[in-house]
Amino acid sequence: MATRSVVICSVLLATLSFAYSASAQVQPPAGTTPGRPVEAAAPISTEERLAIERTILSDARIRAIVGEGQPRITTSDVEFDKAEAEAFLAGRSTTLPTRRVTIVLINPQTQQAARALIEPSQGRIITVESIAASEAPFLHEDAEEALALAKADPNVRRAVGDTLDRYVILESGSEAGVPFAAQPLPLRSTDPRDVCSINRCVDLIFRTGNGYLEFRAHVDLTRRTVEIHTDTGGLHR
Amino acid sequence: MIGSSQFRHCIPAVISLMVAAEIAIAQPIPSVVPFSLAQFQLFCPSAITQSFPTVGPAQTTWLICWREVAGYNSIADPNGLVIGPVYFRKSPNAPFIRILWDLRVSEYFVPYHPGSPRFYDLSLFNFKLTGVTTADCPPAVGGTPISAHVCKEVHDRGLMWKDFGGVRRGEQIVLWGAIDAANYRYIQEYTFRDDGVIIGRMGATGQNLPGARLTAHAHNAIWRIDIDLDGVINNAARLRHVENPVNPAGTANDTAIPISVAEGFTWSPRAHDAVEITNPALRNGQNHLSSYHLVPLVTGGGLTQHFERFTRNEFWVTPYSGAQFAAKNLPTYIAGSPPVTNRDIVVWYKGSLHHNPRDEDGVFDHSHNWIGTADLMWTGFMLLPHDLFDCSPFYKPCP
Repeated sequence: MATRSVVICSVLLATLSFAYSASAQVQPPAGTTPGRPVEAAAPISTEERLAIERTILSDARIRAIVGEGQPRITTSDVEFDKAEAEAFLAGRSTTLPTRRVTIVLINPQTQQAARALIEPSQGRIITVESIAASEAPFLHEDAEEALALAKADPNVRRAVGDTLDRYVILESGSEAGVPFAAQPLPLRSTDPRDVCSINRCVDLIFRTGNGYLEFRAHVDLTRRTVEIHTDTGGLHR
Repeated sequence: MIGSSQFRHCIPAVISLMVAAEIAIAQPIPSVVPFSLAQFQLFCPSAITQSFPTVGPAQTTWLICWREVAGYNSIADPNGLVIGPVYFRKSPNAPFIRILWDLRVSEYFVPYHPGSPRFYDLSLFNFKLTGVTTADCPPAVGGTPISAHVCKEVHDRGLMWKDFGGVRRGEQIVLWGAIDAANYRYIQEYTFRDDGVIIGRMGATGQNLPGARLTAHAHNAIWRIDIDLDGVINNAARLRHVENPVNPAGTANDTAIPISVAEGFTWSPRAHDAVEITNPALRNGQNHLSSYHLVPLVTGGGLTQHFERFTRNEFWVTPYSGAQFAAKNLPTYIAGSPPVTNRDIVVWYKGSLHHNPRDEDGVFDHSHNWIGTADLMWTGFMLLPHDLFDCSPFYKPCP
């Protein structure tokens, strides 16, 4: 009996020992994106994003800030609670830290903006606050709107020529060989005489296979105006 | 079949094994602040473990967590290559000490000399890391692309020391990626040296601005450095070299002024301004308070300031907040002078590049097409260990 117990215990211990040593190896779970902490900052899923949008758009506090109409929504990448992450790294907790995302909403009609901190796994809104419109980053929709305004501008059409309608907004980081790419450069002025100290302004630059065209379309998204900006006269001594 | 009574006989041994294994895995080496290597690896499965020297027995070791942030709100959560948490082991038998929690660029601010345009090349749009290939990151120089956007290089870093007794070369690991900001590329580079030094640099390269190819401008990078020297209870002090050059005695004095509340201050090339970060509980084998010094690595001898208040200081110290990532809001982060003594603190540093366009950047051809590209210009900072080691690393054994 005693001998049999020793054998059984030995087998069990050996098995557990192997399991523990295996768990000590650095083995990213299958499907892990390189450079991304597992779960702690895993990107939000489409389902989570849709749930978040439903939650925030129906939140009375957010509606009270941005007003009626369809706001534009930006989502940060996932971050995590530092205290929870510390507890996990210190071995005081075995629960991975909570994922959090920051949502910013801006209503293009009212130019009112709000920021909310969300726990995507629960669809829970942690905080809501009103922010200045200038705290809302520019979105792909803003770039598309700027390009549409530029395409409708006769001066831009004259400067670009017949290919203007073929330009598309090129996503940052894209290696796509787009033959006619427009790229947005959001800007802000400090000069109180410049409307871009208040309004949402963006410069568009235009790239072909031969390089950039030598002007920028300066678009005021708030006033919906477009100007051509060319070389300001820098000099070689 | 194993009987329950037989299994019960195993329980004490199993528990002993589990406890021993947990100690071995969770705390391979005791640390002032508890640290579970197993949970670190679970938290950050792509973490890099890099020991130096790369040949022979390890003397120092870095544990580096890194990730790519590519969201749509770089005001709240700046995009790019984000470093942290980072741990360092100064000798094979020493504990891993946390050095960084989160290190990243908060902003690239680019004002042009005529007053306009003034670009926020990181925060105002979702600019993201662009691709790297083996052409960027060749194995011949120790390069390995570790994702589609990030390069790792491990290589020689030149001389470490040279004295009457001999010479030694050092080594380092470098992680870098490049933000695609339309016509420009911003290299985000982070270096971890064998001697515990961390270097952060911005490199600016690409096409001069269309429509303003010859207009001078500045590229300002503002880094948010959430430093956690062996935990979150840290202190900061302003270090200055004080010397009166008309004093014939030729004396000089170094001062360390504790920073008790959140503030920003400027860098002076004459005073060697730096920020010292300490943990009151962390001392080396000489019983000296260990620290890291945040030291500017200035290119061109100066750092520009602009109308925007957040550009008026090179250094800022703020209390940690998970909601504060925007350099342009730094003046509001220090409003009310929140205390930073014995707190979780964040230090910020602004480095500048003054770009006076030159023919080497490019020229117009006869059809007014721009031919050329601007070579990389660099600026950055160093985090230098001070009294972290017990004696000279990579020299003789400590006495």
